[in-house]
Amino acid sequence: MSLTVTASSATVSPPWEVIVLVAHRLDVRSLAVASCACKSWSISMSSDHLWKPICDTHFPSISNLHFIADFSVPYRRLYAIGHAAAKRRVQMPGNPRLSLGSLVFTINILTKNSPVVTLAKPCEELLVDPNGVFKFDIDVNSECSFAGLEDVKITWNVVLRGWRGVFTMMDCEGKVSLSPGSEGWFSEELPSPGCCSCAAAVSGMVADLKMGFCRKRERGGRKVKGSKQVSVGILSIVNWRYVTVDDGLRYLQHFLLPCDV
Amino acid sequence: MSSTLCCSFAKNVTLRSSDGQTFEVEEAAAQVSQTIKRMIEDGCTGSVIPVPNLTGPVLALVIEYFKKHSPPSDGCPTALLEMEIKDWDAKFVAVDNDTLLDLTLAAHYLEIQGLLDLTCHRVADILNDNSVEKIREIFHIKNDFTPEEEAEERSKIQWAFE
Repeated sequence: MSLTVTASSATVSPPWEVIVLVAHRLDVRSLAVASCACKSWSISMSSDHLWKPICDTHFPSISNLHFIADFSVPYRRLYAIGHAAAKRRVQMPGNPRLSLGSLVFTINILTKNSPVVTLAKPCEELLVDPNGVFKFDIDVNSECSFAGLEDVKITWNVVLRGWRGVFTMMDCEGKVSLSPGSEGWFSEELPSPGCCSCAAAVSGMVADLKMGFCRKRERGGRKVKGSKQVSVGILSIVNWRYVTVDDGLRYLQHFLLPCDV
Repeated sequence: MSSTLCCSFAKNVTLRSSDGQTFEVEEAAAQVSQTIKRMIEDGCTGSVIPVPNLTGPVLALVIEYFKKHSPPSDGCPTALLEMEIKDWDAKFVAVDNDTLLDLTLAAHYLEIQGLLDLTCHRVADILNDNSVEKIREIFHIKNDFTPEEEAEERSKIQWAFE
């Protein structure tokens, strides 16, 4: 008895049995790449029995689509769409097209009788929070000397430089004690950007404005001079944290820049 | 020690390669190959066993593998021995691509599961992270796709090229 197989030599490519054995040991990407080598490799390396365990491991949630569809979808195809879907899920949003330098914050806080705060501050003059969140502290260099609870009307607008656009972050009324040491905190839900995918009616974000009055007593006098600070920011209602500057800018660009997507 | 093992120890078989080289090897060692084992069981050990699908140099390598992997005389491989064999295996397949391919084919034809696992693993290591062109080169594969067919094939796994 003899082994009747054609002579082995390096110029003969391996038989399909060997391809299948090797295929089991390839990483997924290499398996896919190797399947483009020739027709027989393509057939051997795109078989469901190779790709099913791969799909089961990598994308168990879509692996069963193979059976749901009327026509059976090859597992290699399922892997391809699963891979694309997974990639899109983790895709980072693009850089904001809006920069802080192009924005001006205008804040008005009025009582019935008189303005408490009136300011227009270019954002580039503001210190960016060290944590990179969309929250800005603005010192207000005006004196005031109130006591008791006051009805106030608050507006915070974001103006795109050159008066090219405006977005109202907050327009509300409330009561606040304008006495030293007190704080006033206001928030207003922000509208949904309503772009492509965000058809939901909520944005999940609120504009946030905090007024603080530092104590600063004049020597000997009973008159109180308040040094005010106003903080504005955007909070996510998912975790009640300030959003990042980039997220804030990406939100604002929906309202301030023409949509180019 | 079983009597069959004892008997097989005494026996040698002769293997002949495609280019006429002959090698004498203990029958027990040669039985690492399931194909040769069957032939021996079928009573073909009287004369030389032809192995026409292996050239002399490849058969010589395979016989080295036989010797290393023949059942130990005391019947129970120790952990130390297994480790030593593992190291030896790793060195054994650290050969050029053509030889590796020859060994893979030899393991396949002679049904040497351990060697086939070893070589396939090594082949996979070489294949991993290589381009289509490089794979064709390593395996001497003729590209039998038309340019259109290849473009379509590649488009199906576009993600792998990203």
